[in-house]
This record gives sequence, C-alpha cells and structure tokens, in this order.
Amino acid sequence: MSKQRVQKNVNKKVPVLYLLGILLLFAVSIVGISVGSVRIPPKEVVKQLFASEKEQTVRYERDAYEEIPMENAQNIIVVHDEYGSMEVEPGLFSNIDLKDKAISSVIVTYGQDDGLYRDIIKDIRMPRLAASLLGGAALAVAGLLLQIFFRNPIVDPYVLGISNGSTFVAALFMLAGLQSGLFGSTPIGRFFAAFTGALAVMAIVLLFAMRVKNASTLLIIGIMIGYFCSAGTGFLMTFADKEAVKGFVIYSMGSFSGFMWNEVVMLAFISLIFFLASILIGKQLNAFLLGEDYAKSMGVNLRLFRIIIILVSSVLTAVVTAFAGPIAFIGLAVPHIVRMLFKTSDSRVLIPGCILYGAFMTAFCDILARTVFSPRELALSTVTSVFGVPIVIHMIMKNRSST
Amino acid sequence: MTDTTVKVKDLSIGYEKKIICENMSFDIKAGELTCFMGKNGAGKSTLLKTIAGLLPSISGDVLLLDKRLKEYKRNELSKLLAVVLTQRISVDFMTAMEITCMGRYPHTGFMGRLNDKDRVIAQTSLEQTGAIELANRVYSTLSDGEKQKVLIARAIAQEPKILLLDEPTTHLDIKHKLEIMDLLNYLARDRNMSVILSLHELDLAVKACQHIIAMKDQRIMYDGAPEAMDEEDMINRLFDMSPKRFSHVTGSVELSAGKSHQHFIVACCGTGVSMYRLFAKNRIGFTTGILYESECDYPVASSMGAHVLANKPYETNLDIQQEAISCIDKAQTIIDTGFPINDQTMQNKMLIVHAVEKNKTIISFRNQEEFEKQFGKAQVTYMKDTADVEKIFR
Repeated sequence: MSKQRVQKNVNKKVPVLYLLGILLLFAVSIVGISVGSVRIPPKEVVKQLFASEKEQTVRYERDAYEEIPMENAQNIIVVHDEYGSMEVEPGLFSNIDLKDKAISSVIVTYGQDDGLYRDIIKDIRMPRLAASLLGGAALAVAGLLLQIFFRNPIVDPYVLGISNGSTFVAALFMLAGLQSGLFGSTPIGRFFAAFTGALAVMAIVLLFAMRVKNASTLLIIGIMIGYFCSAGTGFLMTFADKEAVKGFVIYSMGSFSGFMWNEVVMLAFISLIFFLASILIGKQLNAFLLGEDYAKSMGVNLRLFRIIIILVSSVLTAVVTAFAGPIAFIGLAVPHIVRMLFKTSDSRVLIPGCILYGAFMTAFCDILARTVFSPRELALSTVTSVFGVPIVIHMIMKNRSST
Repeated sequence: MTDTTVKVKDLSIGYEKKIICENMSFDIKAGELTCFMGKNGAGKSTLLKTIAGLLPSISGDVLLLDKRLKEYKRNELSKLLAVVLTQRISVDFMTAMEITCMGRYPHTGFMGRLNDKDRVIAQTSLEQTGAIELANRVYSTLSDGEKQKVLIARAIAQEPKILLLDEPTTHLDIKHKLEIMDLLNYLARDRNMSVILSLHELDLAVKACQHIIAMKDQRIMYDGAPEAMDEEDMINRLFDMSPKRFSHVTGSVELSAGKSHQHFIVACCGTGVSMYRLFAKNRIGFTTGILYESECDYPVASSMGAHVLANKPYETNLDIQQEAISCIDKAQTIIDTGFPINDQTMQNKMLIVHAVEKNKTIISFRNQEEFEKQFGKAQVTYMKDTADVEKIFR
C-alpha cells in the first residue's frame, strides 16, 4: 500500500468553492447597491465604492479669488479679518464680494460627485447590504453549530427559543409601552430590549444545559421555552392597539430595511468575534460528529464545549434577530446546501463556507425582496423560503447516494 | 511483560442512584485480552464505560497505571485509552479514512491538522483491521461489519495503551470475527496493550482471551483464566442454563432435546452428532449409548439434556450395559447410525443384536448387506440421509 494512495483526502474543489463564494459576494454587493427604486448604474456604483475619497482642500490667497473653480466644491470657508471664519454654501458663494480687502483667504474643500447617489448608497443601500451579508452569515453559522451539536439535520438557530425570547421582549417594548423604562423609544432601544430577551433565554438554556445529560432533552427544553415566549407575545398582542400591532407584526416578519451604520457596526463587531470563535473550535466540532462518548474519549471537554456552542450560536442568532427580526430558512438550509456543495462534514471547511454562502444567499434574497414587486417589499423570509426550498430539495435528490 | 495496567478497587457502577454492580475489585494486565462476560444487563457496557471515564463511578476507585482515573487530564487520558462502542455513528460525507484519522485527535495540534506521520498511522491501522480497501469509501455506505472494522481502526490509530471494546464482533461474519480476534491478540501480545472487551460469543471468549471477568447478580462471579471455568461449570451457572447447555469441548451450546424412552439412538465414534441435532431441532427427546465420555458425541448429547448412557474412557461397566438393554426394551424406535464395528464397539453391537432379537422397529444407516452380515436378517428401514429420519416424526 503506497503512501500515494491515501494522500491528503482534501476535496480539490474546496478552494474553488471559496473563491466562487467570494466572487458571488462581490457580485451581489454591486448588484445590491445598484438596484432599487432608484436605479444606479453599476459603473457608478463601482466608481463610488472605489473612488478614493480625495477630499482636497485648497487655500486660495488674495489674488487668486477671481479664479476659484467651483466644480465639486463641497465646502467653502471664507476667512475674514473682522468676521473670522465663515462657512458659505457653494451655491451662495457668488454673492460674496471677493474684492473685499479684509478677506484674508478662502479655503475650499473639493469632494466627489453626485450627492444624491452618494446618500442613497451610503445611507440606505450599503448598510442594508452589509447587514444582510453579516446577518445571513451569522444565521448560517449558528444553524451549522446547532445541527452538529444536536446531531439533528432539522435544527435551525431558533430551536432554543432565542428568537421567541427576543420577539417577546421586543413586543413588550413595542406593544406594552416598555419604552419609558430602561431602553428609550428608539430603534436602538428596541434592539437592546430584543437582545436582552434573547440573552435571557440563552441564559436559561445554559442553566439547563449544565444539568441535563442528553442533548435531545435540551433540544426539547429549548423548543418548550420558545413556545412559552410565543405565548407571551400572543398575549401582549391581544391587548395592544391596532397600530402598534401592525408595526410589531411587520417587525416580526423579519427585514434588513432601515439599518443604520451604527447598527451595522454593532452587528459586525459581535458577529466577527463569534465567527472567529466558531472557526477556533473546528477541531472539537469534528470530534463531536462521532457522538459525545467518542468525543469525550478523544479528549474533548464536553461541559465547556456545550457551553461554548450554545453561547456562540445563541449570540449570533440573538444579534441578528434583535435587529432584523426572525428570518426563516437561512439557518436551517444554508448548512445543508454548503455541506452538499463542498461534499464534506469537516467543520473547519464548512464554517467559512457557511459564512460566505449564508451571506450571499441572504443578500441575494434581500435584493429580490425589495425589487421584485417594487415599490412593495416582500418579507425576507418569504423570498428565502421560496427560493431556497427548490434548491435544497434538488441537492438532496442529487446527493441521495451518500446520505 | 505482564504489568498491571488497570486496577479496580471496591468499585460500584451504575446510573444516578441505581447500582448495577458493586464492590468489584480486580486487576487487568498488559499483553492480555480480558473479557467481561455476563447476561444482558449485567453491567458489562457500564463497566467498560466507567473504566474509560465516560461514566462516573458510584463509589470506589479505578486506577490506570497506578494513577487514579479522576486525576488524569483529558488529553493525557485520551492518549492512554481508546474505545470502540456499540452506538451507531451517522455522519454524511465522511470517508472511512477520515473517520480513522479522527483517532489522531489527541495527538494533533491546534486546528487538528494532520501531518504525514498521522496519515501513515491511520493507514496502517486500516491495513491491520483489513479495511484498507474501504479507505476512500463513504462510511455511511458501508455494511455493519465494515463499519465495525473502521471504528476499530480509529481506536487503534489513537495509539492507546488500553483498548476498550464493547461487543466488537457482534456484526461481523465468522471470518471477520476470527480476523478481529487475531488482530486483538496481536495488539495485546506484540504491542503489549491491555485489550478489554465484552463478548457475546462465549466460544471466542474462552478460546481467545487470557482473562475472564464474569458478572452476575450485581457482583463479580468469576475472575480468572477461561481454562478453569469448566471445572466449576461457570458458564452454565453464569447464564442460568439448565440442563448444562454450554460445553467447553464444543465451545458452544446445543438446542434442548430432552429425555425420552421412545427413541434409542445407538451411536459412538462421532456418528451420533448429526442425528442428535436432528432430533433436537425437531424437539424430540431420545436416549443414546453406549458412549465413552471422551467421544465427541458425549458433550453434544449431554448439552441437549438427552438421556445419555456413557462409560469412562475405554472402560466397560456392566450396570450401564444393563440399563442400555432395558432402555432398548422400552424404546419404540431404534436407530443404528452406522457406527464402525470393531473390538472397541462391541457393546454397541450387542445392543443392536438385542434389538433385532426383540423385533424392534429399526432404522439403519448401513447398507442392507452389511447389516445382515453383522446382525442377521430383520425388519429394517434402510436410510441414507440423516434428514430422512424426519419422516418418522410426522
């Protein structure tokens, strides 16, 4: 038996698939920014994304006032001996008497082009895109971790009741007037409320996780907690007024719209840390595939590992759900799609795969959700399911021999 | 080298509050196969898992290489001890080789990267289990026996000093059972491992293992070499089998036939074995004789619980002969198995002669010419195949 025969059993396609994932992300980003009710041509988008923000600032001295170019002028400051520095709108600059000897200098800041596109891209499209990329990746990774932990293919990130807890506290916030209390009546306030709810459920689940021997038992407990929180939400909806309920229902259908940059930054910060954490436990996750007994016999610290898995998957789920509401299907389906695409069960390969393809799928579905029936926006969960179900079924049928 | 690797002191095992077996004390040595034997539910799997550190003990101590189990660090323990369990694994897309490489886990670094040495060890393990052709096949598509071999290879790849296997041969065909027992023997002798296993195949346990620990009624019933178990009829007592169904000579059990005076099978020199089994499988009792206790017919007929008339090896006993004759008188059918007729088998010849005199119904497996030459003319049904005797049962 030569060594050659059993060389590195790495699926040669893996790097290709990673590359494909990255390209798809890139493509979806360009498309995501360009389409919408205001159509920005892709060329423009690329230009905006890659334009070096060369904000030139030029100081003009006395004799050069006549020839100050106004093109691309963003900001003008007129320095006057008596009045000091005065900010002047570029459009009103022509009203200023440039022959006044007291003007010591004029400082003009030149920027980039079209303000309109800039605002749409910067303030609406990009945050939304970034949020859907990060959120999709987070849900996919959370789903994968839980599917490995419970050794159950039909587990999704919401199985431990995290999203139900999050929605419940969000309901308290939106329907029961919790605003006046701790969180303040802003979207960020709602986020903190929802996040707290999710983390509270996570804490309860962790408490049980340390007592319960069997993973299946924990699964059932999580599902039960979920039902309980749903019941709470339903209760609140019964007594709230119609407008509030409408707003709440829309929130609970899950959407990435209305994301602001500060929210994206928070999402990114938390997600990236926990993505790293999941990559770092790749070895333990693989050991776990054989079952708890075998994993323990190979040296895995089961207690610690359980806590880590629940923590990582819960926080990833919590942060997405608290911002965007529950988004169906991604957490359940993307791990399967990635597994069948890469044809492996190796977590060290699957986690980056889930990050890439979870991001891509969610961003793609989000684009469809807001453009297909524009100006009406479909619920993201609708699109992910409609789009994703045929894909999953097709791949399952194709892979029948090895499952 | 027979150093003690595992010492168990006053150990009680079980789950939560239920004690399955208590106050156990025994030693297990390197270079040997030790088999835990007992009824279903006696605690064999529980004991294996407790020694492996997968289940907490209720009280008492387990010492591995003179260090208490509880004092071992996880990684240290995983380099000392590897297991093969009964539970099914279901992983998609993993090949047999990948599963085997999992055994290298305690020896690999941070992200579980495998180096060349790891791959070579994994490959060798697969070769030793006779599963190397399965290396690139997907595990979930393998047969139960093939899967078993891969799991054993995985454990071997972990390079343990102590190997614990829970019913490792259960799903294997006879050839592979032997291959695995040979392999385990090799690992014990040449690699000086302590191989500890539970087996349901009693004959393999007795034939292949050096040390048997038998568990019954929440305690250890026997702790010693398999060769000494025969004297105390240990196995039959262990499994509550009566009549004494297990024979160390055959290494196996027989179906029960029971005693009956209706049919007398005159046999010796091995000619009775297939006839006895035919009767037993049709649940028909019989009497047989006259055997020597050293003949292979003897343990087969005894294990069945039939009425056996037997002499000590090469001795003659007139009482037994008398009894045999009176049994012939009582019997309705006499079966002559066609045993060889010579000086040593005179007693049996005389029985047939007596049967002819008394005009008994006789079935013979000799040809007519030989029968009449030996015993004279008589009303005899001549048969060729053992199975034909079934006609008389209907």
